[in-house]
Amino acid sequence: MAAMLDMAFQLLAFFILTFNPGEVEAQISLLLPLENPLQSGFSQSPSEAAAEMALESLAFPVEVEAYAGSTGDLVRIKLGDQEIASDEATIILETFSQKLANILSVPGFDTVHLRVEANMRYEIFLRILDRCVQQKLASGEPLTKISITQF
Amino acid sequence: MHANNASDRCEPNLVPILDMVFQLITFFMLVINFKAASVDRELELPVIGTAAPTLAEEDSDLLVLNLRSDGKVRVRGELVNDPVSFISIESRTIRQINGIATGKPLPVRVVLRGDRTISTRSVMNLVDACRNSGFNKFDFFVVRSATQGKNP
Repeated sequence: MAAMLDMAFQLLAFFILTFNPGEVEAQISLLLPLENPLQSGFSQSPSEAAAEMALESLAFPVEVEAYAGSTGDLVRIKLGDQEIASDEATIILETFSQKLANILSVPGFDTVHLRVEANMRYEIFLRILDRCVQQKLASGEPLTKISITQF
Repeated sequence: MHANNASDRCEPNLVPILDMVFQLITFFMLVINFKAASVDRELELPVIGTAAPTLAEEDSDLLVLNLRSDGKVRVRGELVNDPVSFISIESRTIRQINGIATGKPLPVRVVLRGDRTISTRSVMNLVDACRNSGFNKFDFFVVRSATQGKNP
C-alpha cells in the first residue's frame, strides 16, 4: 500500500507542476466576405457584386470612420456627417455607441461600413468593433453586416 | 492471554489518503490542457470588458494565429517567417484534404490572438491574407479585465 501511495504522489506531483490554469478569454466572432476588401466594402465575384449592388441600393449603410493620433489612440470618430471628438477615448466610444444605436433604430439601416486608420492600436480597433457588434437593428435583430477596411 | 506480537502494532489506515490522492489526480487529469502549445502565453490580449465568450461550432477546426507585439506570428508554437505564404499553404492543404473547390469558403475558423499594442494595419493585413485564401470565419480573442491578459 505504501508503494502504491508513493506512486500516486508521484503522479499527483507531475500534474500539479504541469497545471497551468488558463485565463478566461472572450471573443468577437465575425463572418467576413472573402477576398480583399481594400478595393470596396464587399468584394465578391461579378455576379455577387451585381446582386450586392442591387441590395445596396435598398439598404442604407452607416459610414463610420475612426481616426487615430500619433500614439495610436482614438482621437475622433466620424459617424456619417457627425464628428465625435474628445480627450478621452471612452467618452468617444460611449457617444459613438449611443449615436449609432439611434441611427440603427430607424428602419432601413442595417449595414455599417467601418473604416479604421491603419496606425490605430489593435485594442482600440476591437473596442470600436465590439461597440458595433453589440448594436441592434430596428427589428430587434443584432447588427450582422459590418464591413471593415483600413485607410 | 495472547502474546505481544507484531500484529499488535498500530498501523495507519492508508486507504482514505490513497482515495483522496486519486481524487486529486483525477481532477488534474481532467483539467490538463494539451492545446496550450497553440496559444502564445506571452501575449497581452486587448481588454474588452463587454465582450462575452461564445460557443464555438462543435465540428469547426481552428487555426490559431498569435500576433506578437514585435509583429511576428506564432502558429502551433513555432514562429512563422512569412505568414502570408503560410496561410496560403495551409489553405491549399485544407482544400486538398477536404476536397473543397477554389473560391469556396473554408470550414476552418481563424482565431486571432493579437497583442494589444500592435497596430490595426498588422491585424488587417493578416485578416486580408486569410480572406484571400478562403478563410471567412474569424474570432478575435480578448480578455475581459485588465488583471488578465498575461500569465505570470
